[in-house]
Amino acid sequence: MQENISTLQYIKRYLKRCITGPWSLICGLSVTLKYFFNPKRIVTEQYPENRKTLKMHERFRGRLEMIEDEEGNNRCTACGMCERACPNASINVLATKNIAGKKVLGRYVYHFASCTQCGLCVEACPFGAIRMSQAFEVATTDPNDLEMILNKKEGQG
Amino acid sequence: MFPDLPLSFPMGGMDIAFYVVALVILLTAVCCVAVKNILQSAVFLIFSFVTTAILYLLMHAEFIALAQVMVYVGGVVIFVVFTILLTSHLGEDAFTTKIPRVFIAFLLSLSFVFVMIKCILPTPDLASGLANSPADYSSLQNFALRLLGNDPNGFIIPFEIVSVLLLMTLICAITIARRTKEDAEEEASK
Amino acid sequence: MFVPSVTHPIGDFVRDLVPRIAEYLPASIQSDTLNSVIAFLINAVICIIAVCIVNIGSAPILIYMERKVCAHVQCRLGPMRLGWHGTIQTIADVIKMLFKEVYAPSGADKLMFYLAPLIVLIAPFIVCALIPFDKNLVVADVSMGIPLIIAVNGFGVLGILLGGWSSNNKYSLLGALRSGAQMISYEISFAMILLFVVMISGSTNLMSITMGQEGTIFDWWIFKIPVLGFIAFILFFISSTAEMNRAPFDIAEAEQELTGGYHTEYNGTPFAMFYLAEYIALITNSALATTCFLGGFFPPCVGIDAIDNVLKMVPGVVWFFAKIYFMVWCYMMVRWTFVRPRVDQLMDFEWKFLLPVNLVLLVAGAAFIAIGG
Repeated sequence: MQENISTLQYIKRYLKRCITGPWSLICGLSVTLKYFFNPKRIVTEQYPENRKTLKMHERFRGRLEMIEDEEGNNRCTACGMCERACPNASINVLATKNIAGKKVLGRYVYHFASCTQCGLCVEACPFGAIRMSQAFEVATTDPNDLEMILNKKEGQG
Repeated sequence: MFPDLPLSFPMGGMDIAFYVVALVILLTAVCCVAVKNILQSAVFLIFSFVTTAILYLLMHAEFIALAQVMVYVGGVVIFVVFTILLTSHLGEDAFTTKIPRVFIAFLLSLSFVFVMIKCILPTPDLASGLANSPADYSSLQNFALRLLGNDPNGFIIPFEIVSVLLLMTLICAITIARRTKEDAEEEASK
Repeated sequence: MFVPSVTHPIGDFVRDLVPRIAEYLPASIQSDTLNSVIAFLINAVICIIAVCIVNIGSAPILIYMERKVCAHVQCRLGPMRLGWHGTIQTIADVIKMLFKEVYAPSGADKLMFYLAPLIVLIAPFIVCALIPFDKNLVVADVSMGIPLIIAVNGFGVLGILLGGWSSNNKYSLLGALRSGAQMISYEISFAMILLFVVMISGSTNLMSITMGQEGTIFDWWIFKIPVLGFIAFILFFISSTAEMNRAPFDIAEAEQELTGGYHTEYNGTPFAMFYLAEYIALITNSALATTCFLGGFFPPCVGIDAIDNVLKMVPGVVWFFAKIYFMVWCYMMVRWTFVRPRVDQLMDFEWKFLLPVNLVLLVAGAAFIAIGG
């Protein structure tokens, strides 16, 4: 595209760019120099070596887990919102009835093999009963390990 | 056993080097015209130029040698290769040239060789290979001083004329290659 | 002369030693010619080995350095596993590269395909032979060093053009043509800057260019000519980066556009040669910058005797390599910081900015010498 500008304007712009161009390059260099001379900025982890001290980042989404108190009670009411929210059908909430005849959580079946760790179930849960854990070493040699039951006790209702 | 035989046959290391280089020049030159692929022949041309430069070096004409490499390898042949790359297709071996008048060609080259021998042979001290020029004759400094000197031995006026000629060619090339405004508008209107 | 000869100490030692050893041979095959030829051959072999050690030995170091610098610029660690901080990683890479099968793509011009990497290697090796590493450490102390460097630079273009064309691949051909155009253009300003150095130092011999910078740090050509020296250094830096096809001027390779440019189809040893040529060019260009601008093998004296005496105790080779690696580091920082310009921008930059500035610089340098020097 050809712009219609006078020669004076062209020269003005040319000279201006002769100064702003190198200045922008110097700005870029200063950033990389800062990174180069500051080893604390390095974000990569030496994973197998620092396994003991490695701390996962807070927002990392590992596999799904249930929030339980010390006695192992969870807050799930078996409403099935997470099951409906899951795009891969990785969650099956199997409800039972307790002695009082109320609908409670029986087994919370989680198919880790098809889970994409999107976190939609956590967002959908109205009671804050589930969360994404920090565990990242989830590889296994037995596919049956990927089918898990998350709750230890029946739900409270 | 061998009383200095292999080393005294030619006059010394320089002569051996000369014969080796001359042989390589001949080989690459023959390959240049004999090879079917045009790009390969260009490459052999380059090698022939480079060996010619080495020949100049053996004659202590250092600047000429460097100019040979600079101008031919760095300039001319690169453009030849560029042109070949842009115009020919790979795998196209159809590059057979049949010279209809073999006999005339042969005669022509033979007469050329004859003229060369006729001109070179009367040169004094050709066989002994003595360097007649003073030691620093072809150094860059003397070269430049002679080229730009304005005394009777200098070449300042031809040098300047050549530079004006080069400038003219440059301007002509730009004028031809340049698209005028009307051209651009015509193309845009299409 | 152009005959390779190790200058004084080593060469004289060999020339001295050969006749003494020859005395033990039977008298019939003794002759002065034979002695001198053998001494010459031994010297030549020493020269070749020295150049190869400097070039091939520094390539793995440079590759390791490049990976580390790149990583630290990008907040990474780089190779860490093999050896202490990944030091033998590149050796493993080289071994892997050498043991790979070498094959050419079908339809490729086999002769050209295998010739191209060899041609690319010519220029950096010849330039390396001319560099004075110390007062007595130069393989070929040629009187016309700078013209020779300018002359042999053409081989690099040739190798890349041939390699790109003979691969029978459109990406390769595009990359080769691009890089050919780029290198031919930038060769002009590269030569111009070297001419500027020749002009201010008054010699084309690299050794005497270096010797002209003896003294304090302010006698180096970069500082000796007030502002012009620094501008010339920057211009040399830019044009040599383009000459080496390194980023930000790596439009010859441009992975995102051309998948690898002229060496897309190369693998194994031929690819390693292209790679080697690239890194040797890095070394030789850094050495050239050091010789022409940063005082060669002289220590960076500041003019205070106490400090200078300490600095002068370190041998010149060490200073030279320290400066070379500083320059290499500069090239690497530039590579990993700046973005790649488009092809037309690159050409515009050369023909519309760098070349006029170079011409002005030459005139200004001449004026400076005529008036002040």
